[in-house]
Amino acid sequence: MNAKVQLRILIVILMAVGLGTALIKHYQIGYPLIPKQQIPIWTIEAKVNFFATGDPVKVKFAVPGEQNNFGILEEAGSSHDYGFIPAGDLSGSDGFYRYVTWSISEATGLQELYYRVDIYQKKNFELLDLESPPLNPSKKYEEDPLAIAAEELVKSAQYHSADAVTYVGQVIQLLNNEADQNVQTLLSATRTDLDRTRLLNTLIIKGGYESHLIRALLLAETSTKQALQPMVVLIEDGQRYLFNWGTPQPQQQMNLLAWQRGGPSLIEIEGGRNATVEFSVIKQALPASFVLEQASRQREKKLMDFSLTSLSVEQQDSYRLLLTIPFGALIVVILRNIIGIRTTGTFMPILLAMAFLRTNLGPGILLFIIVVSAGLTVRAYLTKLDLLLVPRISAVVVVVIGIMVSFGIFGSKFDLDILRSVTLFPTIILAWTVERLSVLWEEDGPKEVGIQTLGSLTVAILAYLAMGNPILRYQVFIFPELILVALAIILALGQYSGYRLSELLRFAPLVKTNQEDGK
Amino acid sequence: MIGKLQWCRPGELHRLGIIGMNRRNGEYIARYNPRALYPRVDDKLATKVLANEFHLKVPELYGVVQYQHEIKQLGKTLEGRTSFVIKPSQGSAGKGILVILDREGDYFLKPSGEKLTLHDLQRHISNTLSGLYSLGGRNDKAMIEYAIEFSDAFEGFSYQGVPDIRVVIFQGYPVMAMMRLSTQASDGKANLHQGAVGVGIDLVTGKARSAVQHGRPIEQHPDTGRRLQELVVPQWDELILLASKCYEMTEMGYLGADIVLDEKLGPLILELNARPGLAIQVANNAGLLPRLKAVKQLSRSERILSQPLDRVRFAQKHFI
Repeated sequence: MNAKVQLRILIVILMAVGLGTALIKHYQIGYPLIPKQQIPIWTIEAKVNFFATGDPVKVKFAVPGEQNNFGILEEAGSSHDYGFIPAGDLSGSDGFYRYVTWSISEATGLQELYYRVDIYQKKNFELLDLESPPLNPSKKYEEDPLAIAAEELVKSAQYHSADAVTYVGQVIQLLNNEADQNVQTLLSATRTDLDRTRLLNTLIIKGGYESHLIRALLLAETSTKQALQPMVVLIEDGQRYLFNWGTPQPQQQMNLLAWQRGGPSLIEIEGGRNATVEFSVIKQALPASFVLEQASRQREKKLMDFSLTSLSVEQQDSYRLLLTIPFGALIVVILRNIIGIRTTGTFMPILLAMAFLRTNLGPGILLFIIVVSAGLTVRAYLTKLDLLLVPRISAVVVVVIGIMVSFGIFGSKFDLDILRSVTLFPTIILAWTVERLSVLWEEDGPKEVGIQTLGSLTVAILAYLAMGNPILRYQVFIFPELILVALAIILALGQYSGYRLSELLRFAPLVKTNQEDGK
Repeated sequence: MIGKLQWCRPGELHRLGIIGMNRRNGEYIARYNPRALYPRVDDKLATKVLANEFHLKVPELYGVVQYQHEIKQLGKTLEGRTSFVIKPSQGSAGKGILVILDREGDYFLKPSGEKLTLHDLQRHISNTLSGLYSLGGRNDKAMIEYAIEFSDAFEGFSYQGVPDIRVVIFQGYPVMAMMRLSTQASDGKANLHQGAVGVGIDLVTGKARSAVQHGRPIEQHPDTGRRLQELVVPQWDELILLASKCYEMTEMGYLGADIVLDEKLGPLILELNARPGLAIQVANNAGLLPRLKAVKQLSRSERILSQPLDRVRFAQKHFI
């Protein structure tokens, strides 16, 4: 009895603490309980890598300012031991040339510096409607033979065009013709996309139009290892047009963040070499009221309160997944102990659900079925060879990975998006599943394998739906204390000693014969 | 077997005293079977050693092979033995059990008549030791023991395979018994999941009460056609007493004892199970709960002071 009372008290305490904290956060700080009227937020993390040579290091890194279509919610730089000078005012006069500075008296070897900024979408969608930075044509095109080649190309383009947009289109088309002598001369002086974009910019300015270079970041869905894309912004009559190297039509992309505008370099390093910059982007949707409040705080330079949103992008992503696991576990408890679905292993369904979250449901199930049946076939053959258990599992893992890799290859060959979602994480889970199922096959026969596989899949799909639910994901991320509530429910269910739903089916014949006996 | 889905209400199950998985796990196994005692039943060798200590009848142990280097002496161990069984100590579901019924010169004969050499036996034992047959691939021991000569009382009741009797014992009181008959569908295995027939056995007489296959009542053995009502377990009182004594030996409160009947030696304990299944209720067409409750209601002194025979009498008086 004592244990029962203790358990009940524990359940009540957990419930009270979990729900209480969440409600306090809701009423005191104003986090909405349900994500309504959402605004897209991109958390962008720039990772600067370079080799320090052992001298004092000073890194000047260009960062974006407030723009008409995007606002800055929060920005921070982090790096071990380095001194950090944040960028100046968001919308001040030096708005084109915002930069942050890291410095240290001495460093050697590979260095990693991080700059993180949260961008939110403003309602105003007008493209890059900002004061133009000074025109900045490249100097090298003022000397022969480049100057002559440029001059001829500009003349030809001017002859075939009527206004700025057609002029730029002509220039790009001419530059696309690599057989042309002038183009060859001009291109010989360029090595990177950035050089070529600079050339384009210079040619536009030489033609008498107003344009400048930007380095833009595509704010797509969550992605890693992005690079900045150099582009040219043409300004005519207050209108702005975006041009890419190689495409004569103006670009229509709305989700482009101008990371840096104008000419100066993205990064300047003293005391280091071989600098590379990588960007990773996480897209999420946050409630409008929350975003706007944060944005105004940022302007007032208030400190953020403690929450998971202050973690780095990569950490946030894994915490997001981690925090939903308790709810997956809750689903497993309900389906196993209340409904009575038989599954392979207690937590395999959760792992499967996590794999599905990576691959998406349809492709995930398809992969699961193909890989598991292929794996079981191979395993059955290996068993015939009288192999010991560990080598046998290892062989199955190798085969499963072989199958997955061939999917990946076929996927990219035939452009099937489905099969490209293969990653390391689901591979290991699937290999392990194959092993569990084949042990089961030997022990309880194929029928039991069928029942349990179907059971595991059902539980995994339901767990996937719960763990992937955007409202739940929002809630546990903003109110992590809700996992205590999940714990309380799980503990309460742990006491349930009634019948499982499946047992109502299993024991039904018994009831029937007893009724007949009674009559 | 699939047919139309048939449901019943929880209240009906409760009225019949059917115990479900959750209650069995939470209120009986977790409470009455201490974790630390599990090796006594999970390791067949440990069970056998214990049974010998307590003078309970088990198939005689001829020898144990624990290390690979001991395999060389197998010939010596088997000297003078014409029939025996080699089984893994921690095997599951009958895997790795090799039965030898006779010898012919240098050959060992399986029940099927297949001839094996000493080398074949050594390889089988070597595989056993390295965990080929044990769950999870743990290293295991190989036991060489007496090959049971099955009583012909069960002629026609079993399709191949070994008929055994499962007795569920709660705190030393036998509460329910069932005989498991293998069928063609169960591939000669006495596993109810796989289609073996379960026959509920009357605790007083050892006679069949009712029988099921795939959870449905049946009258006749599906392969041999023998009427299952005619089944009687001989030496029943001795058998149920043996089952009851397993409590003192294991100290486990909720236990399943699997017992076989040898032609000459009578009932022998084959193995014990700390998580006996619930199908026994279907085979007996009765729920376990009222019986378990009746035992729970006994005072501590009544339970502790009662001898195995008293407990059998109590069961035979109350559990019909």
